[in-house]
Amino acid sequence: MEDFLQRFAEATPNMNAEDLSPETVYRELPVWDSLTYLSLLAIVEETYGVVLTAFDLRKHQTIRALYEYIQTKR
Amino acid sequence: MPQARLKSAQVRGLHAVAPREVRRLADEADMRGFSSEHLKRLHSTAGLMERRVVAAGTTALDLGEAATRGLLDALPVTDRDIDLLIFVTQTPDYFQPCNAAMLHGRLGLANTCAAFDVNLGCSGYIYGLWLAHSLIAAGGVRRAVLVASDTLSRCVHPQDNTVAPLFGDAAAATLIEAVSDPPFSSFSLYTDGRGADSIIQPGGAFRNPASEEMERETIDAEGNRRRTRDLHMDGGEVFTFSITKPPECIRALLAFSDISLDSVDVVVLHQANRYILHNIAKRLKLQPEKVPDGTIKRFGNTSSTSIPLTLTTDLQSRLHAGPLLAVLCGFGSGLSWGAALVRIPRLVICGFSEYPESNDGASGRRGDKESAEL
Repeated sequence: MEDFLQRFAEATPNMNAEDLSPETVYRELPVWDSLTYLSLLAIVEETYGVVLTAFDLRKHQTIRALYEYIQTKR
Repeated sequence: MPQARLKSAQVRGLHAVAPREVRRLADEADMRGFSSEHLKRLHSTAGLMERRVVAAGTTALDLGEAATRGLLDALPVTDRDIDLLIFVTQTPDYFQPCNAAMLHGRLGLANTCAAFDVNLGCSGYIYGLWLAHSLIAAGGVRRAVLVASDTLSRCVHPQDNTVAPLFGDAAAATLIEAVSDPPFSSFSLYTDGRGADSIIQPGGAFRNPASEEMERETIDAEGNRRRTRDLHMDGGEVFTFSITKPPECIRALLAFSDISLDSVDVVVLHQANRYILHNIAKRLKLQPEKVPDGTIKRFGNTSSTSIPLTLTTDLQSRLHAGPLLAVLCGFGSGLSWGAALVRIPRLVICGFSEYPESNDGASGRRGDKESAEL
């Protein structure tokens, strides 16, 4: 999970892992824009070998829920 | 499955054209509300720096005509009889007649010429090459010109930051000719119409004819403006499609052609954005130098033109020295995608010019001048 928060922060323009928690609702982040979204897709693919779809990102709310979903797809 | 291995023809010349007017993303940052941080990310991740856009009133037909004239003018007069003219575009002048017929008229070609449009976006160049090679193989066609041209800058809302900074305008003409003892070329083509909504310009044709409703503007959560008739792209869906299907399709093409990726000189991918190109390259374990990405930052995403534009700019000097064994791969609206394995010989005609040409007529025709000197 720590590692995922780190990866998630890398997808944003200026956030650190400490700014995020597993309960963060990612779509409500001020930095959640199309570029962050595409960066996250690419980083998840690169790190976990899981190709998320736009639907997957809409379906989940929190960083934890997204992380757990990624674990089931690995 | 439409996989074909054809020994019929070869690419013999290329000429690409881009509008003279340059739009720099940095100059638009204030208008688009981009922070310097966001601009830097767009440069470094998507690779977007600048793009070319047509002046009001200039169409894909005008650019396509300039590209075709650039190609034909470089040929000996005796080699200018064309049997087949294919125009790949999603931004035609009219619903009817097709751009290919319009261009045929403008060029004053002989009546003994088949001409038609192909309504495809970023996969269109691959489909066009496949058609030209197939129709030459079928007999009766000796010399084909494949034009790819789009003006996507005219399809997007200028204040839609999800698409407006991305798309540029350009055209390219390719000569494909029956030659004695041609090399094998192979093609692999795919479609997934279930993804039709993910890149769509829904208004203005016959399902949703031009109307006041089509002009109605909406503003999304990020402040992007869009009319119903404008080009809309679901970035996430398209991204996922773009990094999964092209590598699969290239692997399938190579297996079918019984050729390893190592023996291929260059892999020219549709120049969607830098992110996507690098991701595909990594999935195929390709050395970055085998995957040119230079047209993104200079021209943006230019639809079906991006592959031949890359051949005439990034790869111009290598094609002048030629030959190159190239894998080409296009993917986009439809969803439609495909790949081609072609052996391009040393090209004398591999030029690039701007539209309209400058008054002195010199700087705009660099490519031609270089090719004439060879």
